[in-house]
Amino acid sequence: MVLPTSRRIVGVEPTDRPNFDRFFVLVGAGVGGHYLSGVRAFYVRHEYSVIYVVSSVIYIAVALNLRFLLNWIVGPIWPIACMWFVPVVVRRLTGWTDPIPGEPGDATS
Amino acid sequence: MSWAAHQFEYYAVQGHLPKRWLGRISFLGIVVGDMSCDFFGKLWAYGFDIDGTHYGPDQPAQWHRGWPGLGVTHSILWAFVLAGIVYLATRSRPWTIGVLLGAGIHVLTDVGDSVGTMLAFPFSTQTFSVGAWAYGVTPAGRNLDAAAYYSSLGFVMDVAWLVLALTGWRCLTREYWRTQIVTADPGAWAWLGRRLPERALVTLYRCWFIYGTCRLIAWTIWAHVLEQHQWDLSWGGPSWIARAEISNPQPLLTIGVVAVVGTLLVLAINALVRSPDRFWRRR
Repeated sequence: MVLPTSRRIVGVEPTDRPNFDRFFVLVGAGVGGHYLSGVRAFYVRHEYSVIYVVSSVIYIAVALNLRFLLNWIVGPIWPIACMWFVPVVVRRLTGWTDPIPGEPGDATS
Repeated sequence: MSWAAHQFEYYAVQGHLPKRWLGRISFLGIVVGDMSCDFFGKLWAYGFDIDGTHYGPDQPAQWHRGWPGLGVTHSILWAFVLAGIVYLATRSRPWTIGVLLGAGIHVLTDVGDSVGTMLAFPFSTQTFSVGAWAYGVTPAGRNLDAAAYYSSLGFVMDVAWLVLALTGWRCLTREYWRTQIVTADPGAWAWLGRRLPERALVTLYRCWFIYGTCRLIAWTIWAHVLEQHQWDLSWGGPSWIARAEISNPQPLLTIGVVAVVGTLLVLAINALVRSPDRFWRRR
């Protein structure tokens, strides 16, 4: 596995387009440090957080009725499966062209 | 018996590792070591029913925590034996220390219930227990155990470990995963990285925290909103379940033994961290 350089969004500002904002990523530090920017829908910017929260709420709701699902095998696998497949499935179904955050093609990757 | 506390303790420990231990201990090793204690005995401790017949031990507490029984998996000896096996099999320092730390933490935290653990095994088969909440594994199954645990100080125990994990919240960030977790155990993460994208790897690292949180919330809602079991946060509660014991809980003695065993564990890990590289496989 080749680890990408660690980058994170350090600033966000609104754009003319509703629901889209410009984000800034700091690359490097010191004299060589510089900013990259891109435009991304806020729901994509927060995509992982949304997946974590929604998948957890679904898991709790289902498990309250099917309590055997609250076990040490299903419990950890569920969020991994959601995070692995949901971004891909959402793009297939909706035709989004936004790159998956942190993946190739994304300014934060 | 602790529930989500066992998931939160991975992160509580990882997030508060001393600097000299950082980057030397495998997080996955901590998870495997911690899980190993309940892996062999827990399922049979609850038993199962087929055609109205219950299959399981007559005395679940004795089977799970005592001797004779699988109580050896809840002793500090287990942590050292398991670490020894991992060392002989892999010569990996991060995994050897991780397994030792994970199993050790599990054994120490399980002293909270009324049964406790055999901390001094094989020198003594006495179980050391604080007795803060009732050990609830019975033939009645997991639901009753969960209801009892999440109605007692066990619930407080889970929340306390959650808070402790959250005080080291930086260990849950992607940045920390990249700089500390992967670098401590590059072989395992590289192997996983050939199969999973990075977003799934980071979630794999965080998944036990998410699972623990969901588990805590779901069982608490089920026990008190859907089933309306009675809260009993008194010492040794809840009073509405038969309280299993092997030896009489002795809180002060147990705290003393936990301090001694914990110190032994820390000294052992320190020695392993500082041991010469020639004893270990090069990464």
